[in-house]
Amino acid sequence: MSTPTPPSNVNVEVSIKKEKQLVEKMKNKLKNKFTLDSIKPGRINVIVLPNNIVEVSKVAKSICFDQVSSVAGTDFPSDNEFEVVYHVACVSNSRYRNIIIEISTRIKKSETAKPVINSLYNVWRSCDWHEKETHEMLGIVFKGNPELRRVLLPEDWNDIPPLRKDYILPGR
Amino acid sequence: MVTVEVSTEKNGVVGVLAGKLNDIIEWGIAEPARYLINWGRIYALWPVHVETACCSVEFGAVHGPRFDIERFGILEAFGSLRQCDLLIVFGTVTRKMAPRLKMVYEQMPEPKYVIAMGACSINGGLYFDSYNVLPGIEEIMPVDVYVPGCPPRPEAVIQAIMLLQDKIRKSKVR
Amino acid sequence: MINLSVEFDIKGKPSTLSLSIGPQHPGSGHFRLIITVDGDIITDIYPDPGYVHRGTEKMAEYRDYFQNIPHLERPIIIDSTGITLPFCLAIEKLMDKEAPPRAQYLRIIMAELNRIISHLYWLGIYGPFLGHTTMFMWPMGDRELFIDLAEMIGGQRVTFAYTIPGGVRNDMPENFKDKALKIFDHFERRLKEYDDIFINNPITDKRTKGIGVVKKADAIDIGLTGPNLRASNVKSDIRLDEPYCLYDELDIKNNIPVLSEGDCWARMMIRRIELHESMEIIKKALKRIPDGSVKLPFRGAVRVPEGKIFVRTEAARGVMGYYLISDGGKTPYRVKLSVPSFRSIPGMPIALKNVRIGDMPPIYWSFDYWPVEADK
Repeated sequence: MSTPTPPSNVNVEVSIKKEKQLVEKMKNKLKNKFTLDSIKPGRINVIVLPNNIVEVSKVAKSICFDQVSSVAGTDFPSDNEFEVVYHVACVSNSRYRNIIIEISTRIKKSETAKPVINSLYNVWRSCDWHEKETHEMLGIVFKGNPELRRVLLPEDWNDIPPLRKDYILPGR
Repeated sequence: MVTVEVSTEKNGVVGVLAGKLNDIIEWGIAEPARYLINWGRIYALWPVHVETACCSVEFGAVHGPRFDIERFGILEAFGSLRQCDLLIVFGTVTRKMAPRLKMVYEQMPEPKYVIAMGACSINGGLYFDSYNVLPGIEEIMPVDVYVPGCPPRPEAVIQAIMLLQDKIRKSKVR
Repeated sequence: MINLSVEFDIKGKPSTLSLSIGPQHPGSGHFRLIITVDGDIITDIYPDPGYVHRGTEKMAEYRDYFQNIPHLERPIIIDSTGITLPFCLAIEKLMDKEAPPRAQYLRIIMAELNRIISHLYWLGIYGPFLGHTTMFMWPMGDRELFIDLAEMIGGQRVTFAYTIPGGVRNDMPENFKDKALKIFDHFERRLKEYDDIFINNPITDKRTKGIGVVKKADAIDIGLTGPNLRASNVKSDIRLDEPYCLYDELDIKNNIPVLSEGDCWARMMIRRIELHESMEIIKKALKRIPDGSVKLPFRGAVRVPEGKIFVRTEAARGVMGYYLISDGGKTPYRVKLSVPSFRSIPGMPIALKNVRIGDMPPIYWSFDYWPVEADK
């Protein structure tokens, strides 16, 4: 006894109307400050430059996104860049509860200085502990976070941050 | 000044008598005393409340009514660790936790026993290649019984307790 | 009333004291809270996690997708379906495949069973924190019945690694449905006994009502999820908002409780109500489960095409999210886990503000903070 499923293209047509509406609202307020990567059912993927990230986030918060789900940092040694991705969910507005916006940005690596990016602590308080963890695991400095401290690693850790690709696991 | 000359024959008899006296004391007083002291220790092993990692879930289940470890005398004393004599290391010991665990071990009074529970405390287990995990706890404390498994079933933990009880029963009183 | 800061004021310093409720303490797990007290009242809290950090995310990049399932199962060992299910969903979405319907219903059944097992463990530890040791024995004993049910399907007591990309490992045995319904009948009667001795106990009321309050705006702002958020008057549940695994075919709108007080009592009641509601969801799933195969056939190693995806599901403690980046090889390029316990750490300073030391253990454990999971 299995329930009939509608054909897949009908699903996609109907379900990304809300996402397109939200992207239109953002474009009206921000013009060219972000590039749209893709829209899928429930996911809006947006790429921004590091200088514009605070402004784009403030507009996203004013639309409906109010709780950060995760902050992920990744090391791309082939492009010589770090990528920081914020996934923000909508919790209070019941109409957009299934949508997550992904704000991703890239920071260039340099030999001399640590990678720096503006923190989104003043926009969403929920990104605080995730930023602390990303700082510890990858060495990215979030300017504006009140306290970037040790969260998971032991106090006497003196090696390079472990999630970088040039750190090899000792057992391998 | 009195010198006593004892011939070798008399020395031999005194020696044998002294030996027999030693045997009687041993059989009549020391053996039962050792048995009583060990009996008291075996049936009242109190573990310290230190949880190191995920095997502590199975230890919680062992205290439950189905596997009931209290009938062996294992009572989780929610008080100070100065009155406990058993340290069960559940699972992975990380580099941040290791000095604290050693501090806990050193604070316990003698005689004390250690059970290494789970594959991670034997040789690192599933996390053998991690950057933050000790490959086994033998570096920081001597271990009496090893329990393999990931996590070991509660029946295996009970068997470990019984092996430890056998070991104590046969050991000299410290 | 004696003013302690004047009485013991030597050299003009305020009489505060910093305590370490450390990794070896009857009132905490493998986690340290450094609290500053003024007399008996807590003024400042400094959470210190990291005692069980084993490097799961880095090690996941060295194992292939099937090897990663038992590896990623270990952080939340008591709710193993809750943490492996979103990983398998992420792989399936990147490969653009879907598990067969019978497998999806089996996943629902295992996820709800794991929810009951995890909540019973929580209740079994909450009792002794309030001084009620009978409430350790009763939930642990009833939990063994549900572990028996999980063992019938999964084959192991806790770490069964049941969900795999493409479906589940094996089908459920034929006598599962009868045994499950018998156990549910028995447990419904037991829940009434729990209400009598613990949930409606006047001492429990005094120790949990009005204590450790987190208001709705704070709860959303700092990032709480799951039962902690639903206890603060926010109806947020991924099974309703973004249904996965055919949850939308079972009508579960009325099976998600929401309470508005936001205190320890509300967080306890949400989990107690969810024990009953999860059994209802399993009964609905057992009625509708279709026939068919339980996994997609895979030949050789799983190779995931290039791409990145974010998937979230409702585990027992809250929202479990995975951000998976794949570069087309046998092992993932980056696996980022967003675990519910890590997101409830900022709730503790808010709930523990200006509270006496004696109230600290109930508030700390009411967030259902599992240190092994938060430290990954």
